[in-house]
Amino acid sequence: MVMPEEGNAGPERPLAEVGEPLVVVRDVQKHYGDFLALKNVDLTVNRGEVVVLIGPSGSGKSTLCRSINRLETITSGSITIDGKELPKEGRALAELRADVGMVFQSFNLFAHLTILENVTLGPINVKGMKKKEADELAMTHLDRVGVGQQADKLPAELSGGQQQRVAIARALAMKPKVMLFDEPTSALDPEMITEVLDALIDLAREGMTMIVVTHEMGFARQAADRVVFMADGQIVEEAEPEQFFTNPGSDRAKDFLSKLLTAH
Amino acid sequence: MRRLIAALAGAIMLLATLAAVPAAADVQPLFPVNQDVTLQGSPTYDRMKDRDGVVVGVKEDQPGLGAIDVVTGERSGFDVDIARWIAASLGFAEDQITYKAIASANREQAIKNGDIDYYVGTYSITGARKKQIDFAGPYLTTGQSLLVPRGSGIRSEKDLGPDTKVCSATGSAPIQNIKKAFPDVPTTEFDVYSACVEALRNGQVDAVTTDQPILLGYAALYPDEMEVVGEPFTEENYGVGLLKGDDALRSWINRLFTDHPGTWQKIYDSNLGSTGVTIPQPEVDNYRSTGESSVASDDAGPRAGVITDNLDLWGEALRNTLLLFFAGGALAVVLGFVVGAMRVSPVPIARAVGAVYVNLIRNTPLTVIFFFFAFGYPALGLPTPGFTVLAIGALGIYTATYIAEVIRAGINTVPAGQAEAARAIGLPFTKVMTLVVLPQAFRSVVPPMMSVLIALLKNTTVAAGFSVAELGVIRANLSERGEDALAVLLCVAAIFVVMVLVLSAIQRTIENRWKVAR
Repeated sequence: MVMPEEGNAGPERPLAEVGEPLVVVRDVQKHYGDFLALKNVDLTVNRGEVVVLIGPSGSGKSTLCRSINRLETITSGSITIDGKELPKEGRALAELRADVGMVFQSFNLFAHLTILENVTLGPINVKGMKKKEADELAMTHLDRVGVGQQADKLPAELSGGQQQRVAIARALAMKPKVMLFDEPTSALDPEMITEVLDALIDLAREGMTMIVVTHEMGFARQAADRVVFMADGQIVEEAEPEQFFTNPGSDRAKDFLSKLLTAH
Repeated sequence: MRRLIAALAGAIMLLATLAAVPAAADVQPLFPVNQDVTLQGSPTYDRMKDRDGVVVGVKEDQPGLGAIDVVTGERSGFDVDIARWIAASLGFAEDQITYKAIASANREQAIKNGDIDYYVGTYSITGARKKQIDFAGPYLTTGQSLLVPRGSGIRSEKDLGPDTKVCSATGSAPIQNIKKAFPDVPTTEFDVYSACVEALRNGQVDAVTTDQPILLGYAALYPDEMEVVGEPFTEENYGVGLLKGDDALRSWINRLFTDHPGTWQKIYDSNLGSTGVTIPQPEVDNYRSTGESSVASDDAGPRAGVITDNLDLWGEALRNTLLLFFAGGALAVVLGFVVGAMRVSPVPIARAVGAVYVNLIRNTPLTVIFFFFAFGYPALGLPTPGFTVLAIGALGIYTATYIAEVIRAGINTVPAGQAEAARAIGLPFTKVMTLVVLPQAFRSVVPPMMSVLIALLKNTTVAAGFSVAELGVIRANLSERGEDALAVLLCVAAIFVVMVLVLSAIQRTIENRWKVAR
């Protein structure tokens, strides 16, 4: 992929210092009817930190990720972003969501808009940016992830990997404080996974705060500051990547990792 | 719709008549039944004999002329007695008479089809009608007059002006006379006179116009509220409608009227004498020699004249239909989008309001909604914007429920991820809807939306019953001008087919242009 020029359009993070708590999850429970999807979850993600959520399917990692911008409501507990509690509904919630970028497993590009319009929709309609200014901003981010040439196409005309890189550019154009990635490579053909992971690694190097739900151990080893292992709606173990993958502390993690390695 | 009501009413009448048969024995016969009838060469009479009974077309909403007691099923009035008199002269007693109430616009067709043997019901003899049927008589000469609230400023037709709204039966000769003679007088049309009288009582119209005896009958019902003013300003000759070419029967009835002036006077006095207005028996009009009548009528099918001779009426009808469609459609689409969005809104109260609206209005027949707008809404005492606007409101509010459901279904076809992604970049609900979900939903709702709009186009004809002169009314208007009802209906159907084809073409264009790629 095209490597971005150094220092050009890195994410702006003017507020708190690196290392201060940015996302704080406190004692969160989430019910689906009788089923407890999240159990007493506590998690703190510091500014500039890259956290990988890992665990078997149904372990609650996607639910936790989606709860952080309230695409899922929680039953009890609290989630704060940069010191502010997540509002329940309405305009305040919308404003807070603009600070939290999100990339989905299935890309979710707006099917009726061009690639450029996908990226400018937020800046124009949420931040009130002029169209020309938004176009320039969008092109910068699209070039950064290497899909600037596709700006006038519709999403369906792009490959999965290209679509996912557009989705990353779309999130970045809102200048978020934190980025959430919900299994960003799970829907991709194997040959396209690398191009997306490369974009994530670049982002991590530039100091973006990231929460990534993924099974890509290579990525976790290379870019993550911390691995959080979840099972049955609970956080079982938190560790540095090298330690987690070579010497996991819990039986659940050992069991999970052995299956993951066999599968690959 | 009106035909259905008429048919139902007819069926109920028939039952009532049948049920009344045992009681007929103790009703004293009004007219001695002729036991010795010799009538040769009348196909109608031959049919009566075969059937051993008479089927008479009458009106039943004209007190004093042709009315029915809804409780006992007993019919009364000047016209009804004339019909009984004719039946008795032909040898049929009261219990052999079947009455059928036929709406004005359907009279010629009913006679031509043989649904009735003859028609007696304020049936004016006109040249246009004579092309399709024959008349015996006239048996009463009268004219158009005005029914107004007691003490109103209107003393005669000369007092009519732009501020006086005049009501009469849809497409009737009286309303067409008013439109021709007083073009600046606003008119209102309902399918029955009783609706006009109701509108007069609650102040929606200032005068009801039709033939004087009909108005006298209504004035007698509400003597303290309303009065008939002015001398008749037209001349109407009521005749007995007969199958064209049945000269034997026509001569028979004409002789009956001419030879028994005493019976005629008795019938007049017992029905209309109390109104204080004296009308002499008119001389019958043997308007044609026997030879003439054998000329076959040339109204077998549609002809260009149906449209080209009546461009004024077709133009107005088409204009009103399109107005109702476009204005009603615009209201329905806007309201439908709002309600459809409410139904998927995150705010519970909005969802509830949307659900109640859709379920309440969609479960109500359109005719009932029209009734509310035409009669219920004015009773609230709010300023009334006129029947066309009320009809647009009724159509819009009704159709909006279907649009809302189409939109909601369309919204559900948009993958949930689209709305999630829109929310995730910080768009508030309204923008999630208008910028991301609805534009995509819109593409998949084009076909069902067009179906709803086509239904709306056809539903505009319901407004015909509520004083909006659109295409559904034109049959009544043109039948008054003597055009063949079937030909007119075929033309109306053809116009609707063309309009629907245009809509379908628009649909295809939109679908092709806005195909969404996934």
